[in-house]
Amino acid sequence: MRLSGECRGVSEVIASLVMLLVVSLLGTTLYAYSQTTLNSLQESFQYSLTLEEERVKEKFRVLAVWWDGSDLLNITILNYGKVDISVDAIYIDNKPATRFLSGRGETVYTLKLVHVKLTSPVAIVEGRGYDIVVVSERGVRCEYLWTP
Amino acid sequence: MNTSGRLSGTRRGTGSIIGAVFLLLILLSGLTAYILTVRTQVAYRSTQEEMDQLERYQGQEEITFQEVSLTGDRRLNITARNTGPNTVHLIWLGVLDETVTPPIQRFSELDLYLKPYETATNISTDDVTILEGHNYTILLVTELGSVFTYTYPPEEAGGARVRIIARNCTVSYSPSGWSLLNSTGYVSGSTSSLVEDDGDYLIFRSHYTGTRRTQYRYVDQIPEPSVDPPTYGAHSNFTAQRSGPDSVYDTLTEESVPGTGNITLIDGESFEDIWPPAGWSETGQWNKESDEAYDGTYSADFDGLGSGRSGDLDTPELDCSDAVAIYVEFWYRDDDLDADDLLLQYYDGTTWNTIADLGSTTQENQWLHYREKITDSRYFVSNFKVRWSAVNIRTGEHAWIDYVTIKEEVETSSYKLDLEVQWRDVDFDEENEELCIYCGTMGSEDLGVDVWYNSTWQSLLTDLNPGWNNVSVAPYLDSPNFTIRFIGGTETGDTTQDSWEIDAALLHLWSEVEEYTVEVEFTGSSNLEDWTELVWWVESCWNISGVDVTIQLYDYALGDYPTGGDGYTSYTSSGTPNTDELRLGNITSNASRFRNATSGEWRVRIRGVKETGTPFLLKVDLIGLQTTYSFSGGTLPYGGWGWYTLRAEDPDGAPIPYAYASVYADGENVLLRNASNGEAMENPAWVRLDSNGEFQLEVSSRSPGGDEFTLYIVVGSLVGERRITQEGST
Repeated sequence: MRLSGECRGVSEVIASLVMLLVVSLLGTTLYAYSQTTLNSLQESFQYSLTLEEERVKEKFRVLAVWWDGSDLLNITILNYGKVDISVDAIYIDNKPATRFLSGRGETVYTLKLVHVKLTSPVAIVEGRGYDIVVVSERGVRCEYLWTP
Repeated sequence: MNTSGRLSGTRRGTGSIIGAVFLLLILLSGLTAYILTVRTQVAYRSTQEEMDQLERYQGQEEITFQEVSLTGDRRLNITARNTGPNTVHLIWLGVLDETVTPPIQRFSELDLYLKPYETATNISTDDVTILEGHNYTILLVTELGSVFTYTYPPEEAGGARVRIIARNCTVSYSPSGWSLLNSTGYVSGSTSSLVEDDGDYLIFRSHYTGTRRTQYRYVDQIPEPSVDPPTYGAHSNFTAQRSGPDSVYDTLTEESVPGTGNITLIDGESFEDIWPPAGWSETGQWNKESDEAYDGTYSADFDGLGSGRSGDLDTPELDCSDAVAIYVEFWYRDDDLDADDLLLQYYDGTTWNTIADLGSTTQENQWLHYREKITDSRYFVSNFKVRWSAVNIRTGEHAWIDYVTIKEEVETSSYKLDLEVQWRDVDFDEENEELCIYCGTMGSEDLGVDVWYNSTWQSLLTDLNPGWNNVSVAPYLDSPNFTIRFIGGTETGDTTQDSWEIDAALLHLWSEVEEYTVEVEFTGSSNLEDWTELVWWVESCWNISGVDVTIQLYDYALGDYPTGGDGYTSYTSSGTPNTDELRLGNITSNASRFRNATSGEWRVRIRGVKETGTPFLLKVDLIGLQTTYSFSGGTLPYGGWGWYTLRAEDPDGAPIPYAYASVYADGENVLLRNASNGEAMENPAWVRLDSNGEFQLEVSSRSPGGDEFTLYIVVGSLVGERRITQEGST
């Protein structure tokens, strides 16, 4: 059925409104999506960079190792970085210590010492060199060569 | 109004504008994210640069130890100079004594800023006393993590050397006196008997400590299953019996138990009194006569006459409406009766029914017993009657009835109590064994107690009263399990529910024990050093076997003798009398607590106990304490053994292994021995150093008035010497 000439203008108005609606919806969706994605990316980036920044601020070293003559060790560690740390793992000649008596997980404030007491995972022989690796909770490691 | 639908030119761009706004917003978001990211990166880089800078500063830090000396009280006095270009902040001072095993490591906090080329003096710590002969590594730690070390005493440069390194000192002590505790008696010997293991004894006599050994054993449980089921009644709180008396009760309450009972309606009627008996009726010629009687003098009699006569003898109406059964019992006798001459009939309330033809009995002229349990419910009426009907009894025929008993069985319920309680693992060997039950408020009915013995119940108490109820159970207590029951005094036809309060139930077991005891406390003196190890020993014997012995070292921190752990041992002496037994202990944790901190006094207590009727003797051969402590090596106590490591080193500090060394001490009463194996050595002596260039030497000097001597070690042309002062004996 053909519409009369007087009816043509009505469909154009509706078409314009529909177009406006479609453009608004598409724009809102695109904006929301871009906002979410950018925020997520930015937060993820910021988190990893902040973590990395804290790792950069971490500085610690082994000052002394006490040995009882059998298999008990007491490792004195100095935190001289700009953030507090805590010791998470200690390796002796690449073997992880599993029996900690004290010190592990303790918060070590900056410029303070922690004494980590543990049972050595390897037999200690006087005069031999041992590679001691201390790992913090943020994953920063510090190596120390110790000769009893 | 324009309805053509053509939009004006100004509205054509609305969609584009909206799109542009959104595009702008998206770009703005991206820009914001970018700016934040850049800021974070900048902060990270800044931190990284800062840390790099610190690392560079750390690399430039330089501290020089200018002088390390000792104060009068042997504290460190360090003079250090900052020779680097930047200010240094010293935060820790570490002093590591690697001479002893295990090493001693002390860290003290510092807060000292040193400007470039500034010198600091009197860097020290009160935590560490420098011991003569020990080698120390001194650490100065900066805020940036630099560590500067110094060896004290400084190593002599340019040549090999022999060192005499003091390790520790061991001193042994024997008691100087003793105290007899309680009534222990002295027999012979003196403290000099305690110095050597030589069979020379200090002897003590035991004293009588016989006593009554008593046990109170509260009841343990309700036996499950019951030793003799069924049980009746209930506990309110059985646990209450297991303690007290404390006014916390276990209330025992009777239980209603259904059952049946007999009610006697006619009780052995033998027609001795009035005729007919009260309530009875008769017709015809029934009367009482004494010609025949089963019980007493008379019986009911019917004599025949002529061609026959008849009559009935009826019981009174009997109320059997609540019966579940009726028991009829009587004795009868006939003389020449024929069948149908004497009939037994029951009245069901409306009709007489013939039950038995007593005349047909062939056994004549003798008393016959008739018994019947009626279960036919027709007769469970309120006017039940029994009739003996004589029918046509002729001359010469006679019938007798005697001793009639009629009972009805009815349903009843009765309150009963039968509750068992039990003891387990009872010590059944004691001389005296009593059951004691403490009661509170008691019901009006008696409450008895039975004991289960030889698979049956034996009565112990017939009625418990408020307060204690004690009874000997020695005849029944011959096994570890002991069971009693609380039993109601009236168990049949008890229509009243009673309850009784039981506060405590226990077995009181006791014996008179003959026992003798020896108790002696030995005292001695010692040094006031910080003991790293304490070894103690006691060797003794007893002139009888199997004495329970306790040896204790007085713990001055505890303020008492310990009852376990370090400084405590207990044992049962040998089965063979007069057998020497050595007991020793090694204490490495806080050993100094076993001596008085100001006087050095120590105490050892020996206690021996045996259940016996015969006194016995304690014979002590040896008591000693060996104390070990770190020492500087310059002073030796009288009789003490100082342990020194003799070490030969090349100019680089490396050991000279397997070298022969001459060892000599020029004192008057010096003893030398090999610390590794304890073997005595000559003075002077040749020794061979081990693979580490070391020899472990122990030195002792025993000049009562004290001595000063020099210990020499010579390896080739290298000479090491140490001046040692021996303290006099006190």
